[in-house]
Amino acid sequence: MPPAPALSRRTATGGALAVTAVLATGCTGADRRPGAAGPTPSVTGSPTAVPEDPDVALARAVLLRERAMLATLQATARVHPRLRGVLASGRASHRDHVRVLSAAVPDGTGPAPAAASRRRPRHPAAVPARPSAALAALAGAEERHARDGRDSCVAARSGTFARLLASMAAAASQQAAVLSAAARESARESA
Amino acid sequence: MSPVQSLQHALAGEHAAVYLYGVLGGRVPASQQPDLAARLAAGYATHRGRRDQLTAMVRAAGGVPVAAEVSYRLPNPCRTPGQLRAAALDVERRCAAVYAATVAGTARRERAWAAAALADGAVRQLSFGGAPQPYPGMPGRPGPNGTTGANG
Repeated sequence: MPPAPALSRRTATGGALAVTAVLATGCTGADRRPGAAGPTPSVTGSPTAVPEDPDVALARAVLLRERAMLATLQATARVHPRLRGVLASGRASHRDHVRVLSAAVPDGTGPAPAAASRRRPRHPAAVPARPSAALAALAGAEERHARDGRDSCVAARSGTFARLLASMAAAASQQAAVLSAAARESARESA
Repeated sequence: MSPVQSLQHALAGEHAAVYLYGVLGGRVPASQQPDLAARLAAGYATHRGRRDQLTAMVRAAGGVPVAAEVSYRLPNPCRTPGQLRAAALDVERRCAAVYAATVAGTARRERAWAAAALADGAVRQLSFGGAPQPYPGMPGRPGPNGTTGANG
């Protein structure tokens, strides 16, 4: 069962090159190396361009989920300002995942591209009024997010991209554990 | 790195983890530190299980499983509870990096297995005093503030 060939060995589209550059270096935009150029105009500008690299489509799907997770965390922080401390590392983490994935997707820049707002649910799940319930709901959301992330990791063609997705999923697992512990503590305090 | 080489690399890491957890578990004052003793025992059991699974996976892939070294260097003197916790955290961070590499070098079921092991190890880091990170298993990857070395 050989691993899928690396992106660099395939006939890569501009989008694929963008994914490779971002994933290999962690760099975006301005500091990208000249040899790993971003998406070409033919990819971004024309619907008749070469077929999109499957890893770019995957990155776009993961980006949408990262944005949704971040939005859920932010909604909870708005409703429960006292939880901002415990939510800080998760928000920073998902925000950075959004930043990295946005740079890998040709149309992924900007706070909320049209495609993202179309696919995002209009009414995100309501934030529970009790802090312990809100934390438990977030823990469940992070757990599902981690599971989806591992599924995407297995679907990735590039091993380097798979590693990044597995790491992002592991970060979500850590957040789920932190939030579960905080939910239990909060429930004890209010009992 | 071929899939078999990736699995061998992970197996070598688990040999080291089993050895180190064995040492740590033997040094924890269980009556004074029952929580830490239980966490170290759980870590030992998990890594021993993974070592055995990897041994079988390497064989199934047609390889000859790498053997364990005679001994491994401890990351610190491992005398105080704080040092034991730090050593266990160090083991888990190293294993996370190894499993992240295994994810890159394998596919399908083996990759899914390695990704689950990475997540499990990342969560275990928290029980030894580790803080949540944006990129577990990818040390040196720039974090949200452009810092490096924060991921383990």
